[in-house]
Amino acid sequence: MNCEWVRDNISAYIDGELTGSQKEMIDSHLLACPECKAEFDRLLTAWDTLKLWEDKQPPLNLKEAILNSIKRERSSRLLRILLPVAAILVITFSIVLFYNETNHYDKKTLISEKTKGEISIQTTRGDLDEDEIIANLQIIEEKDFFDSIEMLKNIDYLPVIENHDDKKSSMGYFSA
Amino acid sequence: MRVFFITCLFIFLLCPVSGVIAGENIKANNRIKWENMSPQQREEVKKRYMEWKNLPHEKREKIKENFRTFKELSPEEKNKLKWRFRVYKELDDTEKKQLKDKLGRINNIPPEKKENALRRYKTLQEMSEKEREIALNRSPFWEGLNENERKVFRRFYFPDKK
Repeated sequence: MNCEWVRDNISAYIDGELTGSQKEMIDSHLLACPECKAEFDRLLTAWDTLKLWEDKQPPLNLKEAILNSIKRERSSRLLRILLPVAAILVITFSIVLFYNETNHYDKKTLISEKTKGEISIQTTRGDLDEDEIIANLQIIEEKDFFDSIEMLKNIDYLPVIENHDDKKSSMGYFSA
Repeated sequence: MRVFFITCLFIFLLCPVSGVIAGENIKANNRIKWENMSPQQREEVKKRYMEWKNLPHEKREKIKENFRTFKELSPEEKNKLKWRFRVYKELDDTEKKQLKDKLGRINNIPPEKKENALRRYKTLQEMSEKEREIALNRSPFWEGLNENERKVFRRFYFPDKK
C-alpha cells in the first residue's frame, strides 16, 4: 500500500464507504505515516467545519427578485444605449436646423425700401438667391395657379346658386 | 410602459428629422429640375421669383397655404382644378373680372345654400349630355348667357363633354 492510494481513498474512509479490510489497511498506514496522518487530520477538520454549516432555505421571492434585477439591468442597459442615440439625433437635428438658418441668413434677401415705397431686392450673393428659388421652385413656376386655387374650387358653387329675389338667377355665371 | 415611452420618444424625435429629409428630397428634385433648365427658362423663373418676392408677406403666405392645400387633394381634384385654370387663363380680362366678382360673393352665402348649390351641380354632372342640355335650356340663368359664355361655362364644368 502506498501513500497515493491512501490519499485517494481518504475521503471515502472518513465517509465510511470502505470495506472492513480497506479500512484496516488505512488505519495501520495512518499510524505508520505521519504525512498521510497530517493530511487525514486536515481533511477531518474541514469536514467537521462543514458539518457546522446549516442548510438554509432561500427566501421565497428570491427568484422574482433576481429576475426583476435582471429586467432592471436590461432596461437600464437599453436606456444607456437609447439615450445617447436620442441625444445624437437631437444634436444632429439642431445642427441641421442651425445650418439651414445660418445658410438662409447668409443669403437672406435684404429688402430696402426706396422712395415712394418702391421695394428693391438685393442679396449677399448677387441679385438672386438661387437656393430660395430652388426651395420654392414649384410655387414660383405656378404662382398664378396656386394663387387661384380658392377661386377655382369655388366654381363648383357658382352656376346653380340662385337669388330667389331675381328669377334671372343673378348669381349665375356671367349673367348680368 | 417604459418601452411605450421610449417608442414615443423615438417617434417624437424622428418626426422633425423625417420632415427635414422630406424637405431635402423636394429641394433635391427641384435642384435637378433647375439644373436641367435652359438659360431662357431660368431667366423666366428668375423673373417670376422677383415678382414673387415683391408680393406682400401675407399674400405669399396665402399662396403657400394654397400650395399645401393643393398637394393634399386627390389626383381627380387636382386635374379638375388644373383644367379650370387652363380655361380661366383663356378668358379675356373682362370675363376674368366678372368671374372673380361673382366668386367674391360666394363667401357671403350661407353654408346651407352652398350645400344646395353643390348638390344641384352634382346632379347636373351626373346627367348625360343631352339631359343636361335640356335641363340648362329650361333654366332662366342659361337664358341670360350669350353663346360665348355658354361655351366657357361648358368648358369649365363639363370638360369631358365639350
